[in-house]
Amino acid sequence: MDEMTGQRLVDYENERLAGREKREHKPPILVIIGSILLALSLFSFVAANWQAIPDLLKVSIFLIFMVAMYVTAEQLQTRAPRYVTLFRVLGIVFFVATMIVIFTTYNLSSQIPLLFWLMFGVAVLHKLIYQHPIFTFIAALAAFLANTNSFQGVGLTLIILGFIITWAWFHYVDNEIDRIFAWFSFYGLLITVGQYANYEGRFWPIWALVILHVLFLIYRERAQWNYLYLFVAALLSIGYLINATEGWLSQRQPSVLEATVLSALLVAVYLLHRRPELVWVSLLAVVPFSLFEDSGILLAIFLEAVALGYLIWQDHNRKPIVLAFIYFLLVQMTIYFIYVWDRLDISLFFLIGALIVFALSLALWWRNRTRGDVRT
Amino acid sequence: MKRMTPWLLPIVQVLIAVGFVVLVYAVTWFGQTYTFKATSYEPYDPFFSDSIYLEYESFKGRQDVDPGTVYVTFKTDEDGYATVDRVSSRPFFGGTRANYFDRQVYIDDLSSYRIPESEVELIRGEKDFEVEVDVAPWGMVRAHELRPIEAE
Repeated sequence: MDEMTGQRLVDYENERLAGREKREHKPPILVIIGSILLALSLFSFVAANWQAIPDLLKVSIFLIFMVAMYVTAEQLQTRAPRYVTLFRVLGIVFFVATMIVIFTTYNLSSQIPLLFWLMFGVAVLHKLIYQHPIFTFIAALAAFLANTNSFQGVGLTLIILGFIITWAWFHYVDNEIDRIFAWFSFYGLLITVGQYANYEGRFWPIWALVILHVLFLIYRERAQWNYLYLFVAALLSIGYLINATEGWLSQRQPSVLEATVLSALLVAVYLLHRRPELVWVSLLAVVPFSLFEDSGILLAIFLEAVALGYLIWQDHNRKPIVLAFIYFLLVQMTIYFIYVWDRLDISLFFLIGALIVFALSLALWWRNRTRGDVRT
Repeated sequence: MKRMTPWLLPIVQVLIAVGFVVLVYAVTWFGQTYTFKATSYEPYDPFFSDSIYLEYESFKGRQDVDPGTVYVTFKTDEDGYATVDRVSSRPFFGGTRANYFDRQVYIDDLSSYRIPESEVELIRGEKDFEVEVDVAPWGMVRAHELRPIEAE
């Protein structure tokens, strides 16, 4: 052991000692307990006298807490970056709490849709400025609340505000999940527009889907959300199938002119964009006409054929067939529950279904095998 | 500019909150005051809630609109109490949003009233009230005073 090593050992010991001292600089346990008790007493004091506190002071207390959260987040930026997002989320939480205090204090229940749209806008701003995935979740939640709460009696200003916020989310946030949620928010808003315009027919959900194709004109390069159109088209087809025989669909005859225009538009939209997946969306063109026939058998047969055709087409193009298969099964179930419930013995129905599925998988397997043979 | 960005959100959120509070006070500043006659189902008991649910006699009666969301304005009758004036299913500027069903108009913001600490003793055990309501030119309403009517 030479002198150098000895010196290094001494240095090391000194460093360790310093480190230990630093660790012992933590506040003693009694101080921590004391401050917790102090905070609790403050909270309970405020809570007990809540009714006696003047309205403006109540709001100010919450606002100060909210600003404090953002200040803390900025202070922690260099010292403890892990907790920055936590405090920003707490900032949103205190904003919501402030608004709840304002709304209960001043009894503003009729302005709740506006509040939800503003919350949505604030969440999107968070996402834009701080870029953390949690704000995607918060924005999606706020968008859902805003859309579902504005079906009744929403004004034109709110609709415009909603479109601006949704568009900002869609346009400026470069993230696929955000785009998916923003797309659904667009769809919800279009449905709300139908409510606002007092649209009386039965095709508004399809109209909304057609209108959404406008997005493709502006954002040509973003092809990855084709499947959203397919997804909504699938949901709509099943929805119309369920309602074709009863309730609001069969009460009144649809207008022939509207059905024609809508069908022509659906086909035109496909011809305009020429995206191969969207051909399945354009098949919705049949739905308006099938509603002229009250029994709904036509629609059932058509959807059955489409579901089968889509399944085979997906497989033919070597694309994942899981979703096509789920859709196929859903159509089977719907048809069963709506049309065959009291006409066919349940076991016989499932037997036929099973046979069809077996035959289908056999055919697919056979084709894959022969295709594989050719390749080798 | 780059340095300002993190502070944009707290500022916007404070502005939204302050904006709502100002909006409420603006109803009083710019609005017209109507006196409504209201009753509650049962005498007010501060033990259960600090709010009281109110029903309005003058909102009952058949209106010439479809049930659902409607927009209304108010006028003062000969007896000094306010009642519904114009009713429409389409929104118009200055109309207060309400619901119309079962031959009755319901206005969310007037159907409950939060009683401040200082008025609790006055309201306790009472059922019939006069309500002072400010109605803004843009249709917002704000009930701001509840007075018991002495039974004659």
